[in-house]
Amino acid sequence: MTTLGPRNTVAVTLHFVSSKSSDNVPFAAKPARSKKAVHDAGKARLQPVHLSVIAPAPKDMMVMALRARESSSTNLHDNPESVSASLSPDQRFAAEKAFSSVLVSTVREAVGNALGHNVLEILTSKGLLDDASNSREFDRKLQSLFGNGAAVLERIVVKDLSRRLGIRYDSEARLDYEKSLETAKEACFVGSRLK
Amino acid sequence: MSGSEVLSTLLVSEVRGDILVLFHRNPGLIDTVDGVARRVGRTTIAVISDVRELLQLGVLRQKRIGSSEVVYLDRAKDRELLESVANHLKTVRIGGEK
Repeated sequence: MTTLGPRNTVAVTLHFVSSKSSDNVPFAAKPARSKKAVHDAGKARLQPVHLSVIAPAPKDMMVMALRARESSSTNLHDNPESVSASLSPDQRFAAEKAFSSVLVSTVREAVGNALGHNVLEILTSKGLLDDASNSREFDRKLQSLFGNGAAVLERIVVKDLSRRLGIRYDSEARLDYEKSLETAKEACFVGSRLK
Repeated sequence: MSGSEVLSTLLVSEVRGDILVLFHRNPGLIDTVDGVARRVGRTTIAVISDVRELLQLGVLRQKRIGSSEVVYLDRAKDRELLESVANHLKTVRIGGEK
């Protein structure tokens, strides 16, 4: 039984059961024991043990979580060359190919879901998806086709991409499409390095 | 309304884009505005004007079910509007020239 005590103290109470007990099933599978069970345990010369651990205050836990998040995002943004540089040429080629494939399928899905598959086919035939991993070129093509609407499509693409790659997406922040793709690419590279 | 105008009305904001994506992914969806807001991860206040615009455009329709006002996709109108967008995009060349 684990209870949260006052002043952030976690009290863990372990109840030992007599080996004479007929219902000696694993501890975890049992519901909370009655007073009688504890009394029986006492009879068998096994006393309940109380362990107390000082848990960090909620404020401290928040600081730790923020530090962990900062550390992971710093690795991703501030040192973009380190991950790709640590890959062998083969790994790098494979990672870029994988990223390009994820990006193209995300763009197809995003445009298809927003504007329908007829529009997607027209845009594909016009070469919108040729070299989609070149973010500057893709941005230019979208601008020429959609004007101000390009930013909305880019947001939809980045949001979907972030979801697929498990990257945090902040819809309140100003979108830099090129930088977002760089971040996503790094995440892909990190994934391939871990493999 | 021309295809170009429909396009700029549909893609006027991220919220509107999210609502469009939601209904295109789930064409049978019927929900209240509150429910739609929750599904796109926003508040009702944040989505209400975009839902109104989409109702006015005809992409969404509204009806009463019991005590709730619900919105849903008008598939025929949506298809018609996206067709006009497609026809417009056929005439646009990537790079900006017509």
